[in-house]
Amino acid sequence: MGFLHPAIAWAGVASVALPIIIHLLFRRRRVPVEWAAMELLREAVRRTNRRLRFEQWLVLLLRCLALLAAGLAIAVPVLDGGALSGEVRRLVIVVVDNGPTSALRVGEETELERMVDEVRRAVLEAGAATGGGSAGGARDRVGVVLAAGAPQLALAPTSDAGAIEQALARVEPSEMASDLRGALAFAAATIDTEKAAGRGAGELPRIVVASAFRRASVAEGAAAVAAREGAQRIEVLSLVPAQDVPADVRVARVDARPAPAGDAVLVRALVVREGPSLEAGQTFVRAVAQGMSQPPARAVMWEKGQAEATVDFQLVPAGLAADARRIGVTVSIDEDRLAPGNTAYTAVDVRRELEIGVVGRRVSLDASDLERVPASLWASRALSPGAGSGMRVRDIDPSACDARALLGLDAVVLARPDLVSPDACDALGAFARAGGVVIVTPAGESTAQSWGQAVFARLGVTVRVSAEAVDRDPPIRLAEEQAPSSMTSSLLASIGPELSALSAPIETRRTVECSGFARGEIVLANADGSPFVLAQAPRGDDGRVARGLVVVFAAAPELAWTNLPVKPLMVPLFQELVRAGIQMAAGDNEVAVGDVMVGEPNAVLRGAGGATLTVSPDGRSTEVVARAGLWQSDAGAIVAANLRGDSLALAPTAVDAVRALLAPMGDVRIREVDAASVQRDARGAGDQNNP
Amino acid sequence: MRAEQYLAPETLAQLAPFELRARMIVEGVMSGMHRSPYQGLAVEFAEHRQYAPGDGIRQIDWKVFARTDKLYVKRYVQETNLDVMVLVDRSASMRFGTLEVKKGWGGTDASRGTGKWTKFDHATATAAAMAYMCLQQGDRVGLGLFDEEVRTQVKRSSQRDQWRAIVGALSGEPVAGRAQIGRSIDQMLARVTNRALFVVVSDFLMPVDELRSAVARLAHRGHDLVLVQTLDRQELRFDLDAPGRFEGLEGGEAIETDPRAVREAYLALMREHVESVDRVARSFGADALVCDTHESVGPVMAALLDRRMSFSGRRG
Repeated sequence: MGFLHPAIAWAGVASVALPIIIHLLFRRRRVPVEWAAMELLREAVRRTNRRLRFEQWLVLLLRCLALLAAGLAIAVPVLDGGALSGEVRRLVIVVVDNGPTSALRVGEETELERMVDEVRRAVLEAGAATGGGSAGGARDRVGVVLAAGAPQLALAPTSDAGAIEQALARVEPSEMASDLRGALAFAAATIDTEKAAGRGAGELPRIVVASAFRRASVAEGAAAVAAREGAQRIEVLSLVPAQDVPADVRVARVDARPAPAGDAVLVRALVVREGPSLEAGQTFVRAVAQGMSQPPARAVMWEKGQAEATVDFQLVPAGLAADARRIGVTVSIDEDRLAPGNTAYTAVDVRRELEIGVVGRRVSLDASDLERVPASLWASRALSPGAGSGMRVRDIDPSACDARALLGLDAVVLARPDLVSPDACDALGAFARAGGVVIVTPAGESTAQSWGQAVFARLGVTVRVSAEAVDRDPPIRLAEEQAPSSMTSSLLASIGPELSALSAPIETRRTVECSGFARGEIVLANADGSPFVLAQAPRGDDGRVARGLVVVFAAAPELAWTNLPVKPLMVPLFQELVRAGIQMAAGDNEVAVGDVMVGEPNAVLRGAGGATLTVSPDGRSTEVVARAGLWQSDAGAIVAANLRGDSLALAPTAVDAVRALLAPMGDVRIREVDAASVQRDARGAGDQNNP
Repeated sequence: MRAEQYLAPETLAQLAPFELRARMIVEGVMSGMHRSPYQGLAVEFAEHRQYAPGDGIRQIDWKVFARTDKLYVKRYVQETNLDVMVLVDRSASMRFGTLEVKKGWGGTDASRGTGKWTKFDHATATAAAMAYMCLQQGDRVGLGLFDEEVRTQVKRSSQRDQWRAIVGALSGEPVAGRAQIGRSIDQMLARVTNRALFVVVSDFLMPVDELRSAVARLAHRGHDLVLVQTLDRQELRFDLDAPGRFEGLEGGEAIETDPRAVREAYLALMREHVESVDRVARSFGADALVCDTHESVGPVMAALLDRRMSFSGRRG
């Protein structure tokens, strides 16, 4: 047995001394009285002395006991089963772990439904189990906290049994990852808030944890819930952690990109599975996209022990609108016990012709004067080498570069940064932050590069270039093996297999030295590790990374600087930088469920079931993405929302680990249930669905 | 102090209608085997009764015989002065009192220091009233003040200034010591040889056996006796409500107790003690009165005289 307020209990014990002290003080402070009939009084005292003394001690004892009892009662004695008094009210916060794994089917019902039933028995029908009254009949207040996503109060503490029942009935498996630790801390904070607000004085705090405690909810080695220093200990009543390992197959990732040639879209799906025994089997995978052909289902033939498989699809336009800019791709597998994870999404840019602006001086040259061909011309030729390249180049004079000139462009090549005005730089910065791609090359005509500070600051990137170009003698080569970086894999994924061969002949005789970048932002590196091409996302005024992309060349694509313009890498490099850059700059094509979406400012995105998301002027959605699927704006933007992979981990957590997780909150009690039947059901269902 | 202050005018007014009569008048008045030694000197016809063998022929009322043909004898009583000895307890226990002394009440040594109307004050007032009334009738009145023994004595006299002598002795007497009524009575009996009415004013907070012994000696010597038990209201009610350390006025070990706890037992004992005093008095043909110091002397005196007059009438 313990006490909710041990300090009061100790005070109650200490208060026993009060009557004794008062008794002694009164003895000392007796007023002398002169009396005549002393013999009568003496005889009266003698006659009553024994009874009097007994009564005095009895009264003293009763007073001490009364104080002790009052103190202990206020301290709220608690047994394992609850408070000693049946009249003690409780403040019960039910933490329902409604993460994606709670949708796991166990027999005819989901794990969440089973847990909610347990909660009903633990809370609404708790009288028999805990020695207290039920919420309906008694005055217990019950609140409900959902663990999926940001912990939230689904029901403020109330004693209305109907409201509690409705709140529990409304709980459904969420696709947002479970934050069980956060939810527990939130529940404890809710209790503290209620106490601080003076509501429900004397209520016994209790947290009922309805979770299967799978790995998705409790990461391996997760730290225990933070202890609440000085706060009242809470009785924590937990359901029995699931100990089964159900078999599950899911689509872990989908990538789609336009084919290097033609209108096809290449789709690659990563399918993974987990379970107690990875037996041989097969899983059918399907890919669909609006306006594209639907290829036949592909079968993954699992070998024993195999946990991952990759499936490729090629989607060709079939009724795709001519002005379509982006399509969503959905890859799914057959339904199994855990529905979340059976489908994954991605979005791919399918624009057939891109509009590229090249800022540079117009020059008239003959074919023999290659040394004088400026970077702007080389870039134009690389982007649009001939008809059918899918890119249309618009030349922009540096003096005419403004917001109007940039209107309708998907990307801009700034080949003469030394000639653009500050206003033009501001326009380019706004263009980039709005989701455009800006490729900046050094000014090829001179070694002086004093433009760097002003231009890059306005573009919103941190990279800087030296004010003077450096001649390399001997020329420096591109690294044969490009170190893996996020920018390389994102921007040059299409030419990744050939990148080494394409990079080999590239020599650079003059470069500017770059600074203010991270290693992961290098797209192409020289053999000495210095960047040849790097890319940065522009930051907004608030410092946050928004949309858009700024690509920086350390050497002007001119023959006086590098032989790149006349090597095979030139065309695919510029085209991929633009194509993939546009994909990247348009914002996140993908977003994890539970995250904030970054997209076109003020856009309204619509998802399945009429759900909407509003993007605020700063380019971030006002709410987190709650559901997986394809979110599409009126302007044609599509964002694919997928479940986090770790939110679907079904591995169990040991009971001791659960106790350790909850222990800092208070006295933990695992509610006894027929765990054997649960596991039996789980095995039975697992056998039926095991691929 | 002025002696008159002990007897308030209203007290005297209450006493005026009564005539002090001793139950035992004088020896010669007694009919039957105790004939008045003073017969023929100052006699007063009392009543007729039928002649009985042994009655003197001279006492037959012949006029009655002539009218009724029956023999009656005349009975006479001696109208003589009564000797009254007032004994006042001056022991320390008489110093107890709880009534606030009001202006004009006067007082004794007992009340001067405390400002309380003590039992001794009340006893003094009672004695003064008694003496005054007796002197008004021409009785001889004497006074004795005692504790362990008789400390002060005013010899019996019917002189007009006797009352002032009595009151003067009462007012200047210290109040201290332990009462020993037996010894004091013995001393008084040694001095009072003729029959007298003894009025003992005390709280009688003493062993009843000692009192009985003293009363018995008085009765056996043929004296009449009135016991006036003077007690403070606080002693009679014992309605103190705070625990206290009770210190005896006559010494002895102090007692710490809660009056509320022992009240019931104390009142029972007090009641028993008062009844015991009453029983002792009645068992020897005496009277006993309980006098509350918070009440005036007059009603008590009136009750005493009324009872004695009616008693005297019955005895005839």
